[in-house]
Amino acid sequence: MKQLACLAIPIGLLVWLLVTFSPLYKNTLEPLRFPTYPPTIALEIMSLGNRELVSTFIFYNAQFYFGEKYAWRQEAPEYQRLFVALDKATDLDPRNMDCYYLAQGLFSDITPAIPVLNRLLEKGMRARPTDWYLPFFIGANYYFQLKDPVNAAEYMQKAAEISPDKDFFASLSARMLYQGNQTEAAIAYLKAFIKQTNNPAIRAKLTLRLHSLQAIAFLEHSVADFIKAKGRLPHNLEEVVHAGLIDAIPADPYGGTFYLENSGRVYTTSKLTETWKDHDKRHQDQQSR
Amino acid sequence: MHAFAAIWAIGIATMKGGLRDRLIQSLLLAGFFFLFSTMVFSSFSMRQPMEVAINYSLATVQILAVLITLFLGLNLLSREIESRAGHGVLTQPLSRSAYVLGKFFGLMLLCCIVVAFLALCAVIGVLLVRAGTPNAPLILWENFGLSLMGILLISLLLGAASLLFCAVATSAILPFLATIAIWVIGNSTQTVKNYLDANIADQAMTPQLKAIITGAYYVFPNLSLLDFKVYAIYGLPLAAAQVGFALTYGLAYTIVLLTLATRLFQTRDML
Repeated sequence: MKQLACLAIPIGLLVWLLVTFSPLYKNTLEPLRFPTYPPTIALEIMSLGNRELVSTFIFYNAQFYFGEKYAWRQEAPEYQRLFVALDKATDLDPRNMDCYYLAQGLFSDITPAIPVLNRLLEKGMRARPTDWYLPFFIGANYYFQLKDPVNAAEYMQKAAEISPDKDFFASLSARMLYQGNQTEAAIAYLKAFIKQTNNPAIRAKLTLRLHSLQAIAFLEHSVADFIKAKGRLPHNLEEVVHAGLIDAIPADPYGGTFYLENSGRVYTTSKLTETWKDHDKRHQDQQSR
Repeated sequence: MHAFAAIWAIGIATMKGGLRDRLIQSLLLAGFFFLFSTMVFSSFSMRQPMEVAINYSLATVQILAVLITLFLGLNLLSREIESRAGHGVLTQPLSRSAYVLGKFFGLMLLCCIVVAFLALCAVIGVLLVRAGTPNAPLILWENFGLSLMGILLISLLLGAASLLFCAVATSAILPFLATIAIWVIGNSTQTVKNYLDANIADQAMTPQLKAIITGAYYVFPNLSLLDFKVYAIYGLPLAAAQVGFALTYGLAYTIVLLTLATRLFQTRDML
């Protein structure tokens, strides 16, 4: 009886503690910070002959951190620390494709980061000379972010040389270089990227961009139809709606407003960039729903 | 007693003692669970689950094989010498070198059993991941086998180092700690040498320190040479000359350590 009491009292105490403090803990989350890793040489020594494993651990840490910070907490991730960590992970194991893939997913829409991102991807190209994804990523970064079609074509050519899917690159390069249709090229690039992504947070980030670009492509097609029908450029997108070519102007998933330029191209006030204010609003909307 | 018969008898007795060791049994059990967790670990990879599976399983085999060797050295050699349990054997008509070689032979058998068991778990883990991975890349099993061979050689080399320290030390924990130091240094010398050769640290290092590091590079075993994991993970081509050089280096270093251990044990005052 005494033994039973000795067991029942601490178990009861534990249950009470769990029931009382679990909700409290849930509502008062500790700030989530991404760690600063020691220099690469120290990591190499500490890995005790398991550099590739330490590189994988750093990648996993970056991936889980981003997933929790971006998708769950809806907060701005510490991009600079993430980049430094991925750079160190690829110093430890330059063949770690996961790191390059995550880096492209995280930084390819941050224009000031493109030069360093491309340097990281070049490291991958040297270590993985038969992987077409790396020159494909660099080419895409040159084209979409740095607006440099010459360098983009050079890397797309390198990707085409080693890719089994030559047709995809032929059509993408044609869109980039000859038709000058950036929106269609960007949609093709994003679809190829998303197809190979199994990380939900990265997928959500890229899908948001894809949906916005698809809305732009839809509007650009309707503007082209308007020109065909009326023989002139519409004054604005509302005129296309009034002409009955489309029912309504779709909403920009980034929270901006689509508008028509004199060139006939459709742009958005959000510049396809997610501001964290919009992000918070979207989060609140989701919560209230 | 004939020297070979004595080495055989001591070796078998050491192996049986090692297999009965509860700590070794629990480490092997931990290895079994670790390797079957390969599927969970590799599932978080975005682009290369097969590579992560091979990486994780080989690293687990290496870490556990080294840990088991360290504990075998501690439990079967150091403690036996410290507690004078082996003195009974030494009163038999056999040379001290036969005793040391017998101990090493037993350790070698145990390392072979441990690596073979962990390798089997690793192969099963990797095959399970491959079964669940569409378009899985080709696994170079010969490189996988060579990596396991490298891990076995690292274990044997550390076992020989443990014996060498046992031959001179008067406490059981000292050879254990010294062997850990050899493991850490052996894995770092190539990294530090590469760092020196790249002239990154020119400003920060004095010539004396550089000389010490270069000396350490040649004196301590270079365990990075015996590490073929990266070739197995990414299916990279491996030159026969490189494998031959590394395996000869590992064996030669082990023989040197063993010879030194035998010589020092012969001159040791056992009273």
